[in-house]
Amino acid sequence: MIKRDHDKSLPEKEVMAREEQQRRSLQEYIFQLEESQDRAEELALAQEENLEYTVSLLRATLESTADGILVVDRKGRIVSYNRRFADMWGIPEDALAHQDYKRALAYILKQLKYRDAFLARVKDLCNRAEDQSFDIIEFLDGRIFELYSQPQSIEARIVGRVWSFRDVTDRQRAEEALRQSEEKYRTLINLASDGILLTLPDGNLLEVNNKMMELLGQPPVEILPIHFSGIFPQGEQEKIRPAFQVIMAVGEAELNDTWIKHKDGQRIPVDITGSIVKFDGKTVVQWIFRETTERKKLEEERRKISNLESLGVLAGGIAHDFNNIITAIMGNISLALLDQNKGSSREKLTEAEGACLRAQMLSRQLLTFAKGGVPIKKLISVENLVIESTSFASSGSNVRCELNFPDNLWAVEADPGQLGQVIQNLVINAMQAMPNGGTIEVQGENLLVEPNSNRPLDAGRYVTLSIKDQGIGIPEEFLLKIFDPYFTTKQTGSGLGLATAYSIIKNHQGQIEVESALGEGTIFHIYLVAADQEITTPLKDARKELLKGQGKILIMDDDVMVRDVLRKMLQNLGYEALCAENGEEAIKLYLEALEVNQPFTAAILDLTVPGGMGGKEAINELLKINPKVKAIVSSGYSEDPIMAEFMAYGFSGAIEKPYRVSEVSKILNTLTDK
Amino acid sequence: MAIKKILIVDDEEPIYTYLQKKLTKLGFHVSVATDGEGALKQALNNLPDVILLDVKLPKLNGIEACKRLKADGRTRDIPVLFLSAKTQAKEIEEGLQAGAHKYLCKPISFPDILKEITALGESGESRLD
Repeated sequence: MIKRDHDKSLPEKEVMAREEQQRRSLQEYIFQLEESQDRAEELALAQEENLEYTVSLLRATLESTADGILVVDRKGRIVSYNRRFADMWGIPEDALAHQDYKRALAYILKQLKYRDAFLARVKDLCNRAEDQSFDIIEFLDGRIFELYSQPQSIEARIVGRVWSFRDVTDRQRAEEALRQSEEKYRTLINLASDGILLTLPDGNLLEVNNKMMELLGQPPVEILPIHFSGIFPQGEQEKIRPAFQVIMAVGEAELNDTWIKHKDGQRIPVDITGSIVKFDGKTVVQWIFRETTERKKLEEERRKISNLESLGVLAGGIAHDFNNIITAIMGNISLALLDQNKGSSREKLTEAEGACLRAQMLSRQLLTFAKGGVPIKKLISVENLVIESTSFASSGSNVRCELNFPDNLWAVEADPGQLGQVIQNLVINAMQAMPNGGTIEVQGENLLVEPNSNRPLDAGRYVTLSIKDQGIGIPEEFLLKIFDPYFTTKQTGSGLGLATAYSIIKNHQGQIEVESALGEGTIFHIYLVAADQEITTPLKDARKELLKGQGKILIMDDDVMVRDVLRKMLQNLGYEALCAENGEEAIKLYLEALEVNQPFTAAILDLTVPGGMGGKEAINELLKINPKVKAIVSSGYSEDPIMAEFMAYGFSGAIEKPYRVSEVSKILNTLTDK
Repeated sequence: MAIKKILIVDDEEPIYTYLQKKLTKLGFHVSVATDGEGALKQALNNLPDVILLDVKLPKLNGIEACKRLKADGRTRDIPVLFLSAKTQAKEIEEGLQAGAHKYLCKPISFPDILKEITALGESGESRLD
């Protein structure tokens, strides 16, 4: 073999070696090539893996958002979407896998409340690829989605649009519930009859309800104070600060009898309650303002009533003494008139007597205020009463009284004092309604009410009295109230005039009505039951016929002036008079007279004797002595039931203080006649 | 039999490095020898499942090494794949005579080498050839 090697020629060996060398080089080259191929493959593999990873990461991100996401290209074809999107719209996979967006859109549209608007919006956005959008979309089933969209760009080139849908139903419902609850609270506080304010703990205003605005005088919002203290007048603000501190410390506070400031500066009395409440998630202070104007008014009324009550008691007391004084004055005047039949002093005495009559009226009015009183009914002529009661009106005023009475006017049974007071009150009202003067027409009429008539009166005979003025009239809303006690529109009125009139007429089983037209005047109508009897002797002539008499009369009165004037009157009338200061003394005198066989013809006994036996007890004693004793009860308290029902107490007659000689003569005459 | 351990014998670094890297990546346990004596030593120590053997080697050429491997009872059954740039018919004959399983001629691609190794593993009968 070695030989063979040697046999080979050199060039051949060289060729072989060269070839071998070439093969080696080639082998090396092939492996290099393979290696770089491998490396390229590995690199490609790695890149592919990397891309896959990135894509899965993105997909995972897409799937893990709470929003439904849909990506479309510029032609509206579906590029990508997440599970949430398919779920929230309930779109089947195959409809989405399809690139044709129309099927997916059909699913969306059929669930929407306003599909046309939605479609229009989507189309609009297709034309404005670079725009962002935000919409709220409502479902037929009540769900609410927020819909955002924005263009999707790759290297500044818009390739499509990303839509994201967020289900905000729960949030919206919660917001709605909160809004409704707050709305409800607002409605409630606005309906409240108390003023309500909400402030922050620092006192800055948050809410003001309707009533509060009303209390503040409906100020325009721009002048509403920013701070709570601004609604209080100067001087009240100092009270507020401590109240605030109390609320912050213990959660609530009361602040009574304070004031707030009305827009026009007026002070409104209020009681305030403050408490901490939660509103709109904040701690706020709720202030409740109760207006106390009405309560204050009521308190004022009560004070007025109690004043009037004490005035009544006082009036009752004064009237007693006052009547005694007037009795003395009037008695003496009437006696003087008897003496002086002519001359200038007669006129003056007559006027003085007239003044006494007015003083008597005043004292009766005081007593009616005080007690009401049972009327002491007498057969009277309404015409005469009207003449007497209106006489004051003509003097010194620009108001004229025009009286109009038929000749045959029926008489009535009434308390002349009380009825006179009614007429006076009505005439005074009429005069006050005509500050610039005018005429008061007073009209009397007979009225026969048939059964089943429309009038609010029982069938029967009535005397009507109408008092008509030409005054300003009474507004309709006041007409129902004018007879209420303490209702008045006058600055100085007590509110008792018409109330008293009403009560007096009711006590006479009569009716009083009013009709009025603004600017034209007012008419009061009084209906009084007509008496069956006729008046035989007109009252106006009574004074002229003094009926003389004789006999012994016992006078019992605690007032020396009354005793004196009555004694003079009796002596003037031809009687013999003896006086006693009280019941005990009167009985003693009566017994003494019996003993000496010179008994009294009659006795005039004062009803009330302070600190001693009065007429009521004295008559009982006298009746024991002489069951046929003739005694007249006399009193300034015309309201005392004994005065109206004297017979039941054993008296033969009653005479009201003050009296004139004519009345004394008349009553004694009827007594001694029997 | 499954081929697990491979012994590469070549004195050219780019060749054995590449082969070692590729075969290792495929899961074989690969050892390398760069001369004939090293090849014998490693064959005895590691008892590979196959030996890729170059012919032109320092110290002891591939033909001689193969003869000794086949002469030693411990290494006789290890199939030897010659991998050589010597491609004369006489040289190939000489290699096969020395007891090699196959005589692969350089240049050869790695997939072709792998095919031979895989085929060896599948046949399992290489020792009887």
